[in-house]
Amino acid sequence: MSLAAYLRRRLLLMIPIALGVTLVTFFMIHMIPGDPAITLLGIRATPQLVARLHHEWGLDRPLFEQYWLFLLRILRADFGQSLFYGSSATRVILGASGVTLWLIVYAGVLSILMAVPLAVLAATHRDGFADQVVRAIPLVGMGMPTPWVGIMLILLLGLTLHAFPVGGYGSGIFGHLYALFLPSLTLALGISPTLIRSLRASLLDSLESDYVMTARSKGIPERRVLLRHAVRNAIISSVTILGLEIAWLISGTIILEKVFALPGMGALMVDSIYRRDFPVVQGITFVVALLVIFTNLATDVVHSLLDPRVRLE
Amino acid sequence: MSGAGNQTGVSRGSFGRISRRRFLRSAAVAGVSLGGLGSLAAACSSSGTKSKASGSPIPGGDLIFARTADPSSIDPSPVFDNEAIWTVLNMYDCLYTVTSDGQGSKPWLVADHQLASDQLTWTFTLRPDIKFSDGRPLEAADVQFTLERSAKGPNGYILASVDSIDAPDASTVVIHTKHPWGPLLGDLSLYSTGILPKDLGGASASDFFQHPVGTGPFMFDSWAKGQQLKLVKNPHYWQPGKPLLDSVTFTVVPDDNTRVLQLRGGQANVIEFPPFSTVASLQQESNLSVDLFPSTWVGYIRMNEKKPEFADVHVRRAISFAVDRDSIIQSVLFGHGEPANSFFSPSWGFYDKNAQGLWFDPTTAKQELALSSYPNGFDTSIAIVAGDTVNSAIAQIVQENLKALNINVTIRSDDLSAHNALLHHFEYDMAPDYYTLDIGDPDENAPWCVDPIRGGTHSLYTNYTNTDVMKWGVQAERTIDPAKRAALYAKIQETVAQEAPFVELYYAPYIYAHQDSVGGWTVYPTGNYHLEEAWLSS
Repeated sequence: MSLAAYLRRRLLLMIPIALGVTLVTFFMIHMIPGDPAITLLGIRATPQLVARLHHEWGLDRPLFEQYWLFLLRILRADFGQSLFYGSSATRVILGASGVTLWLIVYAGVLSILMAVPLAVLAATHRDGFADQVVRAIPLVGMGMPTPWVGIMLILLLGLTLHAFPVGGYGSGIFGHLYALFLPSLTLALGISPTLIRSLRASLLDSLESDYVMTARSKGIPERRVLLRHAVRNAIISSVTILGLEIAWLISGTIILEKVFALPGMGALMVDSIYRRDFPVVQGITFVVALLVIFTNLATDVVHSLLDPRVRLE
Repeated sequence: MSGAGNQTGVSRGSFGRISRRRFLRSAAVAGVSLGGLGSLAAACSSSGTKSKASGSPIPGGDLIFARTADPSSIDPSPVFDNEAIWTVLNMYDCLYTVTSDGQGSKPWLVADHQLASDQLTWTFTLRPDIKFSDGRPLEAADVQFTLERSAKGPNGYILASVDSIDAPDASTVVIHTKHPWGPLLGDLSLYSTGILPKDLGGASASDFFQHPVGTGPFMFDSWAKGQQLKLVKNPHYWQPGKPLLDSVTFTVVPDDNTRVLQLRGGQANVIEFPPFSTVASLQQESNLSVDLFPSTWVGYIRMNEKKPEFADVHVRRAISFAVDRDSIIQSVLFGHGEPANSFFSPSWGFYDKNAQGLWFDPTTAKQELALSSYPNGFDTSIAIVAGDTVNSAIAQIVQENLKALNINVTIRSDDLSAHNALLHHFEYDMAPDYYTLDIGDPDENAPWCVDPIRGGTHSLYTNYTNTDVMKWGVQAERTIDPAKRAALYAKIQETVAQEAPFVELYYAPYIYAHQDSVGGWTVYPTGNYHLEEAWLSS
């Protein structure tokens, strides 16, 4: 199957998935107890005011009609009006998405920068001291809850050493790189153990493979054998793992954004659930679902490009 | 308005405005002595605040102010959340403003007023020197438009007594009330009456509030929702030499620990509501100050009188006698609070320090329960917001205290919105909560607390009904003479204290922390701040 035909098929498959996501989210958020009008009005929540807000927000219409209107709006990339802010939910979500995308990409890059050298080090010193350390430390890292790691990094690098800001987003590319370093590092520490271990395992496989032996016997320098032949082949299987991890990252940012006071989609999601700000919750879920679907698709495509043996079908 | 909300540990409060919620867990020393108000200010400055800001006011600078939540709107008319209230009050002046002791109202945009002998016609003369932030002078027609718009808005209850508003000339506003109306000046200081240009300058509301115009010290600059809202100095502000700051940036930092860390790390100059537990350690830091401002905050437990147990006044009194307020204040508020004797706070006008609130007295509690229809106790529950550490601790203390009466309490926790729905539909037994006041007159709160009809929320969802209290409440509003109003409010406070619709728990302060480079920083008992007074020394 050609790449174009494959992409077309996968994109068509997205439609029922996205529809399913909207259906589940919409009815779940509307079915759980709690009322955005009562929450917004607090002790001023008189029946008259509650009814007035319900009418303004269209919440007095039948649920199925509300769902239908929601679907029609999505076709125009419009998630409706945020109940809390009284302005476009799409714009509120877009405003928050920048931080989250930055975090995910930054954490992905950092995790690769950490995982590749460490995995190479471990694989080339198999069962040696370096290997034991590289295998043990990430396990400890995996066991530590991400928010706690975040707070520890803030205490150490932010407050004690004053090396990084303890919150906020910075401005400009370098500002973002600087301000988002700690949260991205926290996320990267969370995903790199799996990456390191899978990369190490496949490196060991390829280091023992025939083509590496052939390369060595031809007198190619070890460094070149390692980087051009062994790592390049070993990394293919790790791409799939990284893709899965990035999908995990998207959800992992939710708590971390709260810890680092980052105004991203995760923080907005949590606030909007508390407020029962239906349009924003539905919008974010939809956007996140699309992100995950696209990440998986991109992973499959990249995998096939890296490994000619893999066919897209 | 009164916030009434539990706050959750996750920084979300319960009932009431979203932003009020976090608050409790951070409120600290009220410094309110039962003996009276005289000691209030003294207690506050001595026990809590250690302001080290030195030098004289310096103009310029951007104040970074980390708060727990984003404002819901910058339109003053429909908002209910504290962050929005305290923001719009720095953008749009009201005709009156609350006095620094929280108990009265002082003229702000008004030079003086006269009440006609019919006690129904109030004539206000505007100050001549007021300009909007676009340079246009303030006129009476703007005031008339604003008040009429506000009366139709969600906070319109505050102007329910107003019959009509006239603007006979550019500097005169005449308000006709339906009855003689004692709280009017206080009502005119409520944030929802912040003055806007007539007809919003011809723009639609959504266009106008993209670049709003007001007479306040700061004007809107930008707002990245959920991130930060920036206000800049109004060049046409009417108080000479103010504001001192070039701008104020309100950032949104919901996590308590992160806010404290940002203050320590220098990313914030002022932070809202650091937790009780951090007060002592923050006070030790050399370049920081902790502020414990007297507030209108009252912590209480509501009881649902639609349940037969709580409809019995002896049960309510027994519970009120059984709850150990001192241990709540010591273990939950870290000592930063005072036990409450009235449903009014000492920072409210007409607070009665002699009101005989019910106190912790286990023996009397047993005697009261013996008089009730449930002398052998019963099973019940207390509802809190999940993650609300303060009210969760209070619920556990109450659970323990009530064991002595053979009342078995289970604690149920729900998320904020679900919890509010329980209250709204009377599907709860007991629930700890709080309320605060936004103006210098108790009339904003009194009907909501104890008048099941006029308040609109059935006496804060207790369904407490006493026709005498309701009648006195109406009389107190329709009386101009402060002495007569005080007498009526004293009767109300005494009666409510004895009938115990709420277990009155404590008065708590508003707690903030700031870097010592911040000067001129004060929070009023109503929670608002006049940022035109604030300055930065470096």
